[in-house]
Amino acid sequence: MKDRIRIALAGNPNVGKSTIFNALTGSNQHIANWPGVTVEKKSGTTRLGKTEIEIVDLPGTYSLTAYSIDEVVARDYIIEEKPDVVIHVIDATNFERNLYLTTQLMELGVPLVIALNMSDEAEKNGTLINRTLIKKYFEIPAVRTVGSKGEGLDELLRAALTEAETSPHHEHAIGYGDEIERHIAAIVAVLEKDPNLASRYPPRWLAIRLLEGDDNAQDKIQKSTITAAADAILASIDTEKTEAAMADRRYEVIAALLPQVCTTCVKEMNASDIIDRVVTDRWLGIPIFLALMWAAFELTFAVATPFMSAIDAVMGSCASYVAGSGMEPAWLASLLGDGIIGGLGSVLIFIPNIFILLFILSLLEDSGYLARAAFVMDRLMYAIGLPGKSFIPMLIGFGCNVPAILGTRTIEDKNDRLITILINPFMSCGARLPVYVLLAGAFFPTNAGTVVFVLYVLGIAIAIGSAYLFRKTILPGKPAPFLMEMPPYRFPTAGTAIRHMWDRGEMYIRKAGGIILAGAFIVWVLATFPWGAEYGSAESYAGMIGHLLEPLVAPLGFDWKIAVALLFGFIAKEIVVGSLGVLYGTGEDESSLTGALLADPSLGPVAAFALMAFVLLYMPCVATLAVIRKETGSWKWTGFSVAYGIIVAYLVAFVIVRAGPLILGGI
Amino acid sequence: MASLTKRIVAGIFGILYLTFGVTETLSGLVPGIAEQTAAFMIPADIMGGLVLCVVAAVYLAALYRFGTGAGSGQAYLYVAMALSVIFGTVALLSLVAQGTDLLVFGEEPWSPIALLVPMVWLAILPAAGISVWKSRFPGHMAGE
Amino acid sequence: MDDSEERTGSVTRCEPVTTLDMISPPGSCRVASISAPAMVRKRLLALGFIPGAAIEAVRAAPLGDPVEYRIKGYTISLRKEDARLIAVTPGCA
Repeated sequence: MKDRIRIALAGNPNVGKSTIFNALTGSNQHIANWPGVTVEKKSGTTRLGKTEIEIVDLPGTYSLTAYSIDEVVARDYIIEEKPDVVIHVIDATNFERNLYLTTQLMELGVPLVIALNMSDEAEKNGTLINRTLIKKYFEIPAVRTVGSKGEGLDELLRAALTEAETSPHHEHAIGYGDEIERHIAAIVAVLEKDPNLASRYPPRWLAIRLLEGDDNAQDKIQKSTITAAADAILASIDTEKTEAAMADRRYEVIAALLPQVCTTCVKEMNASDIIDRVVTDRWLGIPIFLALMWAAFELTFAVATPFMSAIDAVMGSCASYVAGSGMEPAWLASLLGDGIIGGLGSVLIFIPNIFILLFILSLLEDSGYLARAAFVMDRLMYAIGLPGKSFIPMLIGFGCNVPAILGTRTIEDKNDRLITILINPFMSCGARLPVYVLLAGAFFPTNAGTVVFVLYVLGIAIAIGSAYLFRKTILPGKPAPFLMEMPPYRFPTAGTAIRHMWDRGEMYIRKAGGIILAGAFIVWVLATFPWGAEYGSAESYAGMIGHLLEPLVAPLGFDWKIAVALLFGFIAKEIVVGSLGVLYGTGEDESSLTGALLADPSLGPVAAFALMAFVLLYMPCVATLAVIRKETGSWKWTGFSVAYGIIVAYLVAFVIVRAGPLILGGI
Repeated sequence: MASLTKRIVAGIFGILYLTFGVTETLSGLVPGIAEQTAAFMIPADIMGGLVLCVVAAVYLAALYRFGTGAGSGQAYLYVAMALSVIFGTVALLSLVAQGTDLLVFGEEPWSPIALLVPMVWLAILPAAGISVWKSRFPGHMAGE
Repeated sequence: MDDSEERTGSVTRCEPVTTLDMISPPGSCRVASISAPAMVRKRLLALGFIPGAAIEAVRAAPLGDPVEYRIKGYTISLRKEDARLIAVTPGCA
């Protein structure tokens, strides 16, 4: 027995691969990104007897071509890192399609073990898979597993260990027929002339990939010494035709073996189909989807309330304890109380929302409804250049942009996801409402509701317009082709959902927490120093910056006080209200602040409306910015988001103050 | 369940959900109505009311399909009952959270009576129905 | 149902080739060929859209697009725009 082996988990999406991974590794997990890409890499360890086993969860893929970044990551890992064994997790209820990936894994020539997952469900449907015959025909051991109940996992590990010992490993292959086999043989002969290439990649596999016109395989050839010879052979071959013929041949082999290893593998009308009739109904499909979204929204924000109050209360009493402790020097007390504890509070306050939303998204995804939601909304979202899955994050954005942006993880295509992230800050989140309530209440006492509604619509319009603009300019193209499997409905398990919630939530705390803290600290410094100035007043650095910015915002009808308030709004947009209170010297009392605002000659209804629009659009708050940075993995896009927001806000506010008097004059 | 029972269930729940849905929505829109409906534990909630109307529509679609023989009536009834349970649970959780917040951090009094909104109590029977029915789903539906 | 449902059991008696987006649900057909760009074609082949494979159009989304298809015992949805790239022979279930 080896002391230490490495196992890779491969398989189609929705086959319960992550459930098996979680069951095998328990809490010994490590999540990171694959080098150079934003695809998540999960690895973990477990033991069997004396052997330490490292398990790597590969991205879910349908094949190992270079169709998507997930496929490239999965196959590069298998080829380059050479795990001791690959466990192919198969959905036993969908045996035929899953076997296609098996044929491709076989061609890679790695030791392979099949996990026939969800076997209980398959057996309930009357599907019986003969594992002895799989071993006989494919020469691959197959193990019956039920990941959700932890059945068969020990046996799976034992089979993997045995397979890792059985080396050297025999060549598995599918015969592609005389003509294609001749091409393969010719290319293999050429490939073997470059020892460097032949030792790194299985020659037959590389030859097959080349015949299929695989770009990634082409790149490997271009760097070798036999480029010209290989190209000469390939030039005479119609790769498109060969590719179809080879896929056809693989399915033919599967079709020939299927009746022998599996009985009643053809699925009948099932529960999923019955439910789908209703939830994708022509008239009821969209209303049901929207009603379920209301439920998600209600849970995310209503259920979080007591937790947020608790966090608020704890942080508040910590801050007042520090402030009342008479700590010397006084600036240190202020740093601890206002700077650090306040900043920590702004990290923690989002945790209830984020965790609940991530839990719900996980339930929606695991139950299979997310695929239906995307199916139902796709046509509508496609019209503005986004896939159906973008709808949910946009909707959640009305509550809070932070969990909404974390929720974009369900969107596979990189550009689709980036656009969805970039337009999300324009969805008017709950923190902006206090600003609207104050200003609309003061300047539009009779039409406050209408004004607030117009602001929400303005946000949506800007989001849609921006999505359209990004598609036409910086991120050209169309939403990724919609080839989406509709997985059968399954009862989601709380364990998996909690796991997902914790994984992502923890990443938020680790990655975004630091940025939010840093942002809060900078604002504290600006508002507190020079020491002695009242917090956030004209004499503080923030006040000085406000005066510096005044000429810039003057065309919008804003004075230095507004500029300072907007600066503080960077921490959280609702702080704009409190800052205005400090700057107008009215404190917390809103009615006297309303009076002070109305008495300010520089503010009128038009300027107030421009200010509300500016607050809506101007830049994501620090927490949103932190998750944009985390999810895009790029400071460039984070910076773009800030710059774009400010420019749009400035333009819109400018148009409002110029055109506003004509329109709002009558109110 | 006999077909007649199912029709009656679909009809009664369809009408109940529709009635409360419309009332909640109107209470949210017209402040004058809200004062009167509050006595019957009907919240003035536009969105919640519309959600009740959606559930009503699924029950009534089931009734319609039973009636015209368009088929899938049972599927609609099953999904409608599942939606009842989902929204009932969500409403219950959010009211409990609201109550906790008021009791622990707020100054206003709160009593568990506040949990008895239509969205919650309308879900009780469907929840019982679905747990009985679940063991036989979808086997007996495939024949439809 | 239209007349194409009257099958003779022979594949050669199928209707002339059209594209998958023209098969309105419920309806069935067989794949003839795929004319999609390389990346999409590879994915479609892996998913079982190989010449001769039987496809059943199950239902359309509420707004008419995308459409859900059953192939090789599982279901997948495609936008009409992408389904247009798949040539099929209708009535060949």
